[in-house]
Amino acid sequence: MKQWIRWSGLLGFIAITALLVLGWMFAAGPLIKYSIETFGSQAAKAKVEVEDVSLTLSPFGIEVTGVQVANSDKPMENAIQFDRAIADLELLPLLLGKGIMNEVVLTGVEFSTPRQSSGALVNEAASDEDSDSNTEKDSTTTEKISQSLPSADETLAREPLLTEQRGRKFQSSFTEIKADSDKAISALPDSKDFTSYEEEFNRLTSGEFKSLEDFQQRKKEFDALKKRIKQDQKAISEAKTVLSEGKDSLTQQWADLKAAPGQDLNNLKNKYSLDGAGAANLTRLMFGDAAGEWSEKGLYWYEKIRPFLTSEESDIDDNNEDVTNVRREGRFVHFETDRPLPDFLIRKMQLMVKLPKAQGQPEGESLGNVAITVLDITHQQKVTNKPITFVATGEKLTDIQSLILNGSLDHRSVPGTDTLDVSVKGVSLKDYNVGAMGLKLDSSQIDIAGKAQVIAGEVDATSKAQFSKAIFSSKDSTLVAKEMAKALQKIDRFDIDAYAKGALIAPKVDISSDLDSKLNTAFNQRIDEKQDELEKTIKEKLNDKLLAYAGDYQDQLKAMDVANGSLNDKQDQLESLAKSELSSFQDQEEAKLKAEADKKKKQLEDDLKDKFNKLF
Amino acid sequence: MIAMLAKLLKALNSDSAPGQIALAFALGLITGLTPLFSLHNLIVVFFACIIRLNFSAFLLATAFFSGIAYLLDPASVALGESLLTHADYQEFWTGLYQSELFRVMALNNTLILGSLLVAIVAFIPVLLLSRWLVTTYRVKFMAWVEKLKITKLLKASKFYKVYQAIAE
Repeated sequence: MKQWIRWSGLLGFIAITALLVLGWMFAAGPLIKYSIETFGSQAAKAKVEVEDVSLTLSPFGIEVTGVQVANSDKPMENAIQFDRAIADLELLPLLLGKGIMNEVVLTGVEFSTPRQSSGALVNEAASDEDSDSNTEKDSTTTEKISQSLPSADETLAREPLLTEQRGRKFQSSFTEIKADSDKAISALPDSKDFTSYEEEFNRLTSGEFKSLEDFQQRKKEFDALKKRIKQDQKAISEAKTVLSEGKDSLTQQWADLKAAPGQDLNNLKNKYSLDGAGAANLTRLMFGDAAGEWSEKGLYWYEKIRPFLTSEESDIDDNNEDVTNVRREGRFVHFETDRPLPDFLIRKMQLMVKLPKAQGQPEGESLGNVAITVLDITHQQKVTNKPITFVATGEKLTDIQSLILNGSLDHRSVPGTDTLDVSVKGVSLKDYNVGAMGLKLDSSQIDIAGKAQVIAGEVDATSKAQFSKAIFSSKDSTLVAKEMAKALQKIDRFDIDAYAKGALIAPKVDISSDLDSKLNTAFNQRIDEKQDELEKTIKEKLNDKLLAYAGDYQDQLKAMDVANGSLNDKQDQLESLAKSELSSFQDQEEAKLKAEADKKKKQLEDDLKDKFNKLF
Repeated sequence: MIAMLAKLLKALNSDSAPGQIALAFALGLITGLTPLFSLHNLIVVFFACIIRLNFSAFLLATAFFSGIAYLLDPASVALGESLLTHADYQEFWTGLYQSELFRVMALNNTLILGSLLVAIVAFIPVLLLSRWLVTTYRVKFMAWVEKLKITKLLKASKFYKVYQAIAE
C-alpha cells in the first residue's frame, strides 16, 4: 500500500491549493471592488465608487465600505450612499462562481446626498449635456404651464376676433353705401330748385289767358315743368331706395358688430376654460406637486431595478434560440428546492433609511427612520422560484404613528407582476402651504392607504388619504382668500383619492377629493371674480375696437335718416305743388267756360224775356 | 510534450507497475471527457497527486481524451438531457438537488452529468484495457520494438536524448 501513496504529491497538492486560495483571497478584494465600480457604473449610468472591499474568513464573507452611487440625472448628487455593507458568503457555491449571500446588512444609508465631484461618466458627458438642455426645456415648459392665465392683451392679440372681422366689413360697407348715397343725394333738387318751381307755377297759373296761343304756350311750359318735377320725383325715389337699402344693410351689420364682442368673449371663455370647472381642483393644487415628486423618485428607482428583473425573462428566449450553440457547454436543469442556487442571490438584506425632515422641521432633524428588509434578491427568480419581497417599517417616527410598506417583484413568469401596498397612519401634517391664496393647512391628521401594481409596463395604482382634524388658514388679505379660508374652516374631514393607470412612463393620473366638491362654490366665486375681471377688461378692449371701427357712423346713420325724412317732405311738397297748381289752372278754364256759358245763358234768357214781352 | 512522451515511454519500459500506468490512463479519461474546471476533476487531480501513478500518463490521457470529448460531447449532452428531464427520474434528481454538493459539482448540468457517466462507465474497461496493453507491450512488443529501424533512428534523435536524460 505504501508504494501506492505518494506523500510528496499530497504535500504538493496542498501547497498549490493553499497558494491558489491565498492568492484569491488577496486578489478578490480589489477584483470585487473593480467589478462593483465597473458593472455598477454601467448599470447606474453614473459613477459608482467603493472605498474598500475586504474578505472576512470567520464567518466567510465580504465587507464593502464607503459606497457612493451617483445620480445619473444629477451628477453632483448621490442617488444613494452607505457607509458599510457586510455580507456573509456561502463558500461552496462560490466555487461554482455563484454569489450566494445569506444576509447583507447596510448601515449609514442615505439618499440624495451632495457629492464633492461630478458623478457623470466620461462617455456620458455629451449625452448629459443634451439631457441638461432637455431638463431646461422641461423646466421652461413647466414654468410656462404654471404661469397664470394669459392677460387680456395677450388673449386678444393671439385670437382671431369676430369684432375685428365684422368691424372691417362694416367699415368697407359703410364707405361704399355712403358713396352711393352721396351720388343719389347730389342728383336731388335743392331749395333753389323748389323756389324756382314755385315761381314758375305762379307765373304760368296767375292771370287770364289772353288768347289761345297764350294758353297753349303756358300749357307747353307747364308740361315741361311737370316733366322736370317727375324727373326730380324719380331721383328722390331712387335716392330713397339707396338710402333705405344702405341703412338696412348697415343696421344689420351694426347689430352683428355690436354682438361680436359678446360672441368673442364667449369663444375666449370656452377656449381658455375660465369657468370654475377648469381650475377649481384644489386637491391637485395642494398635493399634486408632492405626489408628483414622490412618484418621480419611486419611478427613478424602479427603472434602475427593472432591467435586472427582466433579464430572466429575456433569458428564456435566448436559451431557446441558442440551443445549438451551447451544446458544448450543456445546460443546467433546475429542480424544486428549499435552497436554490442562482448565479446571484441575497437571501436577506437589511437597511435603515433616514427619512427627510418634514416641512417646518429644523435642519438636522427628520421624520424618523425606516427599517427595510428585502428578501430573495436575485435576477434569476425562476431558479429560486421566489419573488423579491420587501417590507419597510417606520421606526422612531416623529409626527407619524406607523408606516408600513409591503411589496413584491414577481418575475417568475412572463410578464412579471410588481406590487406595492402602502399604509401610513396618523401623519401629523403641520404648516403645509397649499400654494395659492396664501392658504395654509395649519394642522391635520392623515391616514394613507395605497396599492400599486405594474404588469408589463402598465401601472394600476390607487390610494386614499383620509384627512381629519383639518385646520386651514390664510394670510392673504384678498376677499377670495378670506372667503376660501372661511369655507375651509367649516371642513374638518376630507378624503383625497389618487389614481394612476396606463403606461408606467406616462400614466393617466387623477386626483379627486370630496374637498373639491365642498369647496366648489367658494372656489367658483374666486374664479368668477377673476373671470369677471378678465371679462371686463376684454369687454372694454373689444368695445374700444368696436368704437374704432364704428366711429361717428351712428351719427351719420342718423343723418341718413334725417336726409331720408327730408326727401319724403320734398317729394310730398313737389307732388302737392304740382297737383295744387294744376287744379287752379283747370278751375280757371272751367270758370272761364262757365262764365261764358252763364253769359250766353243770361243773354239767351234776356232775349227770351224780350221776346215774351213783345208777345204779351 | 516531448518530455512527457519520453516519461511515458520510460514508464512503459521501466519496471513500474502496469496498474499505475493504467490507473493514470483511467483517471485521465475522467478529466479528459468531462469539462476540466469541475469540482469532481479537482478530486480526480487530488487522487492523481497522492496515488503513486504515472502523472505524465495522466496528463497525456487527459489531453488525449479531451480531443475525444469534442466528438463525444453531443452524445454526452443528449444523455445528460434525457436523464435529467426523464419524467420517471424527477423525484430522484429532485432529491439529489437538495444536496448542495450535487449542485456545486454541477451534476444538474447536462454535459457534466452525461460525460461523467460515460467516463465512469468506461473507467473500469479503460483501466483493464490499458493495464493489459502495458503488460502485453512489455512482454511481446518491447523487444521487437527495440529492434525496429525506426526505433534505432529515434534513438539517434533529440527525442532519445531527452528520454535518456529522464531515464538517468
